[in-house]
Amino acid sequence: MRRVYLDNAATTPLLPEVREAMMPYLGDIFGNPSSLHDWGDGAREAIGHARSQVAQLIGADPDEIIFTGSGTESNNFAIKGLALAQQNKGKHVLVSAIEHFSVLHSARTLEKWGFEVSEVPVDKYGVVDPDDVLRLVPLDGSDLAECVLPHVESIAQGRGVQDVVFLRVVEPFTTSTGALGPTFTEQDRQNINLQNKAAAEKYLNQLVNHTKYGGVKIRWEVMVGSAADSIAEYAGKNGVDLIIIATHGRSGVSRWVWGSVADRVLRSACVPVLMVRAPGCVPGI
Amino acid sequence: MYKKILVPLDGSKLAECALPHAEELAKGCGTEKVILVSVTERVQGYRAFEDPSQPSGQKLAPEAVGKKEKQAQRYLGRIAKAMEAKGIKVDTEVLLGDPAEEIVIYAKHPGCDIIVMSSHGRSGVSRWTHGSVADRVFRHSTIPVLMVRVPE
Repeated sequence: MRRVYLDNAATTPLLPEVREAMMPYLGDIFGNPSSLHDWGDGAREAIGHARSQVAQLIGADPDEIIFTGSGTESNNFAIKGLALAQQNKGKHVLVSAIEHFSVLHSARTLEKWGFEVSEVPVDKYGVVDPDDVLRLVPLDGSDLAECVLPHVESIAQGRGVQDVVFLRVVEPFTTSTGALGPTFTEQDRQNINLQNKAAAEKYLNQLVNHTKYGGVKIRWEVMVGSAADSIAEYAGKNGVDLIIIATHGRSGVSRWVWGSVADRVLRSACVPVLMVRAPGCVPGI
Repeated sequence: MYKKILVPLDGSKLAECALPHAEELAKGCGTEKVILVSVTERVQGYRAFEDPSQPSGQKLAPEAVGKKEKQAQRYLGRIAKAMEAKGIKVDTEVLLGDPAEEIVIYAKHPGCDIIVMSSHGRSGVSRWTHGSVADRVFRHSTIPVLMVRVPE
């Protein structure tokens, strides 16, 4: 009987070249690469070489490559690691309903550790509808935008405010190119930018439709460019009286970290800036 | 939403740029009180006192009340009077210590909901000052900070 192997998504048979490249390390060069003695040297060099090759392929630093024993191990490692490392930025994890067990079960573990986990449904093609994600995560998915709204409301309903503008800046998409050459064409890049812009417009439109501040007029605006410069430029050109911006504390790790957007807005805009601290920041001086 | 508005002042005209903004907020946002704070840097003869019910920090010990503190108090009193004339309730407070630190510590008092301050103070308009008091308050405060740019 002729048998056909169709489970290449799970495991593929080894290429002869790969087997050949591995042979020395299954034989003489068997040492522990972390050891101090000679036996480990060969293995250490081989792993270092492999690490820089993989890094070059995907445009990463060799330091950023961690070898694991399997995809399941990698998923466990990455999901739990990322969630734990950034828990002061938020403890809500979204997974699609059709993930591999290594993803779903990692999410379940996070749930036991006090995270909130939501499963996003998929359609008959196995594709997630971005609207479902929006419904699950209020606003743009960041607790940043959310924590600013009560302040906007309070000030808008106070005195003398005629106009509220929700501004979102979409930063142009860039990507590093590895040894394989650019994987994104100029056309791809333009398309991604257009998609991001459309998503931002859709999001702000929804936000404006759901927001009422008495008789205050609410508008939205999407700009493409560097966040801080665009905000300052918009404020300058449109006679803005006050910028309200949320920011993470020093504990943040993303680009919203201190010395970044809020800081640069404060320095480059000539109008007052109300900075609202996102929840979960580290107090003190 | 902003029950108490904290306004740090150092006696300079530049720092007072924050006042119109604080007044505007106070009138519209259900504010109970505006607290004007001035920080006097440490001088010999002053000492810290501890009140376990308050956030740690320094206040003038009653017996150490000196000339500098009186000056600051008089100044704050003058500003407070002008604000009260506009129907805003005002408290004044003179603190002792490092200005940025004391402002951040004072802001932890219950009810302090927002700090309104000018980007520049006594030392004038320069990059250096921006890197000091205002910047440090901005970075370390856990409550919202409304930073008013002074005209350069």
